[in-house]
Amino acid sequence: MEPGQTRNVLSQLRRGTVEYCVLALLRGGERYGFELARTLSEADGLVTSEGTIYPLLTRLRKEQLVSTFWRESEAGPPRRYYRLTDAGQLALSDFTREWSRFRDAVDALLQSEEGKGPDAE
Amino acid sequence: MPNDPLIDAYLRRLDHAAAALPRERRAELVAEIREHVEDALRSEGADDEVTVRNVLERLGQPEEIAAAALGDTVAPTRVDDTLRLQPVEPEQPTVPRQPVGGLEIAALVTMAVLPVLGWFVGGVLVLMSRVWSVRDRVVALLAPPVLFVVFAVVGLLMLPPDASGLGPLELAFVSALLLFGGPLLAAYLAWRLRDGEAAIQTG
Repeated sequence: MEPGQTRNVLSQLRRGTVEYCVLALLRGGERYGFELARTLSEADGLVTSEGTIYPLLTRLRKEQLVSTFWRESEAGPPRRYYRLTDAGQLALSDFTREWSRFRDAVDALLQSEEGKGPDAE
Repeated sequence: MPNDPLIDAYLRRLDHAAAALPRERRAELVAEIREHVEDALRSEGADDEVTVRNVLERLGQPEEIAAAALGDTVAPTRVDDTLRLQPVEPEQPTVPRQPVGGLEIAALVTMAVLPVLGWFVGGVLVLMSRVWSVRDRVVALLAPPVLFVVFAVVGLLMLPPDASGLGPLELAFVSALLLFGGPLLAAYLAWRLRDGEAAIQTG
């Protein structure tokens, strides 16, 4: 396997999962762009360039998984907030289920590789 | 917002890199990034050069952000999405952008030049074309009759009960509608063509 392969796989994984992480962050209530970007970039570099979260948010909005609204802030101009839609909620719970299965399957194989066979403890 | 030349230069680079985006989307992206910088500086409680540089660095290269936005605009269904689940609501099939042809030009010209009859003929032509989005086609078809009814009702309400015939105000209304209605509608449809989004958004 080429040396860069692991990083490449991880970046593909990140790209595929980050939108569901955004949806997950919105489960607890509405948030604005900067909060989302900061939280994701601080979560083990899930997002390396904070700015790329905004095109992602636009796509989620177009897919109607999130909706937006403006709200006054104590300091400064009004901010655009994002909130989960019903469709977003549904997509998130679908993904959560599938992701657990995927993760468990990969984990099981990776760990069985460590011991010499599937039955080794 | 500190009027920092670093921030300005960054946003200019972003705007430049996003030139291929539809105009509205591009302006929105730049505004979102500007807002992010403001929020970041506010949360840092500082806006000196080092802080600004850090904030911009965390944002990433403007070209990278623009590329992400363009990727989403050009290819809404990405091929590298092995992990992506079936969307809950089926995605709108993205009709590949149709070239503008004789049908579209005929529709616009008819609409612009020939009052009343042209609007309806143009409306039917627009309906036949696959270049405009569903929404644009509905607008093109419904605008003339809706406007007509609105004008008729307003005209009747404004007319004093004993008046016979049309007063100068009503005449001005009607001629304005006849003169400018078609060209305005045609201009709107032409603008939607230019915008490049017409064929992509079907909502």
